[in-house]
Amino acid sequence: MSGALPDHAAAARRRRPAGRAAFAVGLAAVTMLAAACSSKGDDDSSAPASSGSAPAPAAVETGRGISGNTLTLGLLNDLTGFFAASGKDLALAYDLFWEDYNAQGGICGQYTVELESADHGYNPQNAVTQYAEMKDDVVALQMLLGSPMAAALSEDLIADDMVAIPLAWSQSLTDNPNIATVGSTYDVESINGLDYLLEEGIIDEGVKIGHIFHDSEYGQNANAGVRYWAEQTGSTVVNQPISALQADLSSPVTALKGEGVQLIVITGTPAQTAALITATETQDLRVPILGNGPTYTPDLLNGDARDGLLTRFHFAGPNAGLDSEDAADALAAYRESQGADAIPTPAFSTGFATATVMAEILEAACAAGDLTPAGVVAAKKSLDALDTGGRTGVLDLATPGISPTKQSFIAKPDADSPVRAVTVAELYEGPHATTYTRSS
Amino acid sequence: MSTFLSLLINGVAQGAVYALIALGFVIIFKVSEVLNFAHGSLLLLGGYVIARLVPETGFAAAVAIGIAGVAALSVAMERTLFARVTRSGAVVGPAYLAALTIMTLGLDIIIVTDISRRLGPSVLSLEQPWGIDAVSLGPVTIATNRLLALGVGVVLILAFFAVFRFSDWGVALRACAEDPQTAALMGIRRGRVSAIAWLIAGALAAVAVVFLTGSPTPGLEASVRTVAFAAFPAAIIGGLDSTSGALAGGLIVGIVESLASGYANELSFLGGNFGAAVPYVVMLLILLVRPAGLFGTRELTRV
Amino acid sequence: MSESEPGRPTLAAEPPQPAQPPAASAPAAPSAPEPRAGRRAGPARGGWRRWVKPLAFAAGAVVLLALPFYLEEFWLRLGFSVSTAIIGAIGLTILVGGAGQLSLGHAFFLAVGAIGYTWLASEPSTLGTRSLSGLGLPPLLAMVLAVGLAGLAGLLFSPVAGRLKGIYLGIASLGLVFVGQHVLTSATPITGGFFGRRTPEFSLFGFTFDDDDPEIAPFGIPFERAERLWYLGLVLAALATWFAYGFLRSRPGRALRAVRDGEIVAAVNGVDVTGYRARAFLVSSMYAGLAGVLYALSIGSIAPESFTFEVSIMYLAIILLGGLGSVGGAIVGALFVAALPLVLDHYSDGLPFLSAPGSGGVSYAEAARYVYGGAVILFVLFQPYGVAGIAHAVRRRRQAAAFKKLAAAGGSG
Repeated sequence: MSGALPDHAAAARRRRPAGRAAFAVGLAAVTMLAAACSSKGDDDSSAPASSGSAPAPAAVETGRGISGNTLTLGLLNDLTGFFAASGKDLALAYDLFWEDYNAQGGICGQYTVELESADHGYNPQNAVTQYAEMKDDVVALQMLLGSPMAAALSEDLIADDMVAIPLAWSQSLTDNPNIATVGSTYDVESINGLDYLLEEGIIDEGVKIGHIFHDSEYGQNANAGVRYWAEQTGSTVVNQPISALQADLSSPVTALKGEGVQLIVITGTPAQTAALITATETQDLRVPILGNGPTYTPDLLNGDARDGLLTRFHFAGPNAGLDSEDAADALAAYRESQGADAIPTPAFSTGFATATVMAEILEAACAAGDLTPAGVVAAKKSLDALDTGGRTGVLDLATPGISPTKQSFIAKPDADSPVRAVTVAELYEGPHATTYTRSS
Repeated sequence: MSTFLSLLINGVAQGAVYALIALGFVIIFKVSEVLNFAHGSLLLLGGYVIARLVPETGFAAAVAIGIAGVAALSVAMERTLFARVTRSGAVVGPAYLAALTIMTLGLDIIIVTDISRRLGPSVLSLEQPWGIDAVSLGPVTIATNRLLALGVGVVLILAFFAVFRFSDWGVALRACAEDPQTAALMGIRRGRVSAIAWLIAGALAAVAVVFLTGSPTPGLEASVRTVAFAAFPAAIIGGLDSTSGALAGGLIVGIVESLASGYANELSFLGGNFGAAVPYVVMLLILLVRPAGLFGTRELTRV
Repeated sequence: MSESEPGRPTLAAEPPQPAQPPAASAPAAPSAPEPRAGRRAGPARGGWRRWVKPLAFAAGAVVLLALPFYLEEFWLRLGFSVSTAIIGAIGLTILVGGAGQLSLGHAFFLAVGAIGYTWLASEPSTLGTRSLSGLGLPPLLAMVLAVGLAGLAGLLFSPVAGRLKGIYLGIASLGLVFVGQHVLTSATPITGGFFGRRTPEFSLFGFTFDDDDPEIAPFGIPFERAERLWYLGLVLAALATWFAYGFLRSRPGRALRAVRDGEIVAAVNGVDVTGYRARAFLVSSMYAGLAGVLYALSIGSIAPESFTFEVSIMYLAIILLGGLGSVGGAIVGALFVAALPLVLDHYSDGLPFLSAPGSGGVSYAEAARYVYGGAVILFVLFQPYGVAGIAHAVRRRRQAAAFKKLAAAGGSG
């Protein structure tokens, strides 16, 4: 307590200097003694999991994150922040996927996968703290949600030999050789979306595009794709950067109407998609709208944006939708746990795609006989044409700095579909996506 | 030109909503010199109550209950918390105002945490009967919601001016704001004046949220509360103790925000989301010139 | 909580301040009811009691210095975060409690310090398409300059601050936070933009505060990043505490309180009101700048989300809980507010009333926010002078008891 201070200060002043010195020496001695008695270092040194004691018939080398027959993967999720809706469905997808995988024998036919999860609420600081807490217990990060969090941890991932699957698709993440991006990056995604609309005759070359995007890595990466496509097709782009929290898009829409745009691309949140659609209805700017990234959730169909969504909206994403045959079982499992009428968000299928890729990486490491962190990193870097059976494009995880695939999925809202969306083009690679190379 | 006009009219309409919120700050500030940081959470609460009731009671009843509920809670907060501290006289001087202001922060944290938890990531619709209709005025199209906001905002603010000027309560409030001691000696019950001020502020917040969550915004989200952050500068620009200042400040913020957001591409040299920061930039500039806002009372002390 | 004030022995080196009754440095309670001078004069304090406080302090210091030998990394990181919060909170309490200026702009000055350090100490780099600039200065120099930059930002704001009072100043400083967010997001080459940017590790004359280089393991215990930062935080928080006590008791400190308690009276007595207000902003923002540097070090990166309005509120809550103007109170408040969410998180598995985040129940993060909001309200209601007010009341009760004893003894003799 502060009040105690002056008393002490005065007491100290009264003391003779020699007394003060003796006091300090005594203090130091007691501290040393206290320190010397610690046993903390002893148990720290034996940190790597005791692979020797575990039955390991297949002679696989193991290390951090594997103890006995249990292999732990980390999830850095957002269950309370901007992307909580997606976060919940992703968490459920991972639970279901790994439960199933474990039932079939697990990784390497012997390791049961457990998940260690933390909720960072879309705050990079939390994510960094939670990562530090979890890193010694996990083999790899099954999930790292959010571009800012991935950026904050980027160098740690390399230092710790940690393979991570980000739930973010910006091109710059692919520079990190330990990051496995599952699907096409935002720029490629937007090019594919535009190519598809062109192919379907919804737009023509030389069109005037309005692009509303988050002024962030997410939006700017998509914007790079839109601008490339416009250059190639003689089109023009009007940029409207917005903030992640902007709920009212009437001003950007007014500006785009003034410019006479014939198509609007949005790189934002689902709520902003709804805001965009209602604003365009209000202002009578009924042009086609293309979303990329997490711009659509089924519950948008319950709001005012419904008609606009059903008639004018397409969205491009990195993974297969939930309307595929492959996803039928997953959907059934989802409904079993969430209620018979529950409709998953598109993130649910992303969960399966990313879990599949993680399983493939771990199995590759197992095949090479090395499930240590370094072994897992090496396995990730060895996969140059990973086929997930159509859950996402064929991935080149070996080459850093490029979009791992040029294939995207194009879908549109559909009120009659059990998942409120239909995929209109699977594994779609447009002609301009093929020619696109990163402009840096 | 029509773009500019559209942006301007949209800004004016949005500004009317800001003015309603800013007026809530001003009324409470006038009677207690406390800046109510819990105002944003009252917005959120009102919206939540209305959105949950709408499917059962219909729009009009839900709004009425929502307004009454928020107003009642606002008064309850004043009675149980603020009046207690004021009465007890335990705190005096600047620490007193700081303590009360910080208490509103505490309330804000609790209410926002709770409503956000209940709301989760979902976007609720208040099912405004006018939906996404729009009205065309020559070259300019504007959402009916915005037009109604403008109308209701102007009517409420005029009504408040009338009450403020002519009713007993208005006179009492002005007396209290002018000189609390003398007012008390004249038999004005400050507690009642203050309770009514909180009541009005709460009701205004609930009215504002009906328009804030209407077209062209998608509905009620937890982030609606952040709109209160745009109303802070509105209240300050006008002058915290000036009711007409709240109107002026609201309109200025609405217009500037709308223009900055609409011309975002042209303004990109100022960095991306300039629209979000612009109310504060304008506020800082105005405060540099007029430290008590445009219409606020300047304290004259010369030494 | 005297063990959280490791800076105190150094106070002995400070010249005595005869003009100031020592107790007044606990000025927690602005305009506290009773004068407290001369309370230590009684003979009751002789003998062994003289040694109670130094010994308690010594025990506290030993514990704090020895903790890294026992605690796990989580607790050490938590300790560093608390040190950071202590430094920032002391800065704010000087401004709000000491000078009576409500500031909601603390997050902005934290950001200036954090970005300043990161930019000054980083080498220019290119990550993919983004190229970031940097000066590559030695970290210690970068830290000092970053603190200076934050101070400069405070000085630049002081013309505005000097003209505004109370709530106007509060909101104007809140404006800084919003403008700062905008700059943080836009000035990508310096700040890394929305994405943020990595903070270079701290080092002192070749000794890095990282896991190795050089590797040290006193008594067989490997000293890694968390252990090293613990000591850095401890030393800086101690220095910050010591300086704050000195500052508040110095001439400018007393002048500031005079301004706080009555601007006109202070001015009549020849206090340069505007000048001292500006100085308060300078000192406070330098503290915030240092806290920002440590904050950046503890997170390991900077991003706009780390410096929002919420951070300003958190610091305001800390000094309120501690008792406005009390340095000791700020320390206790920082311990409570900064540690609570992380500790609840750490033990959330074991707490039956908490549920998994996002499952609809109350998660640890929400529980922490309820507790923290509720504590703020309860403190204002029942203990408006915060922790320092409680300490003050306890001391007065003890003095009253001692006085009674003395009076009784005097009466019988």
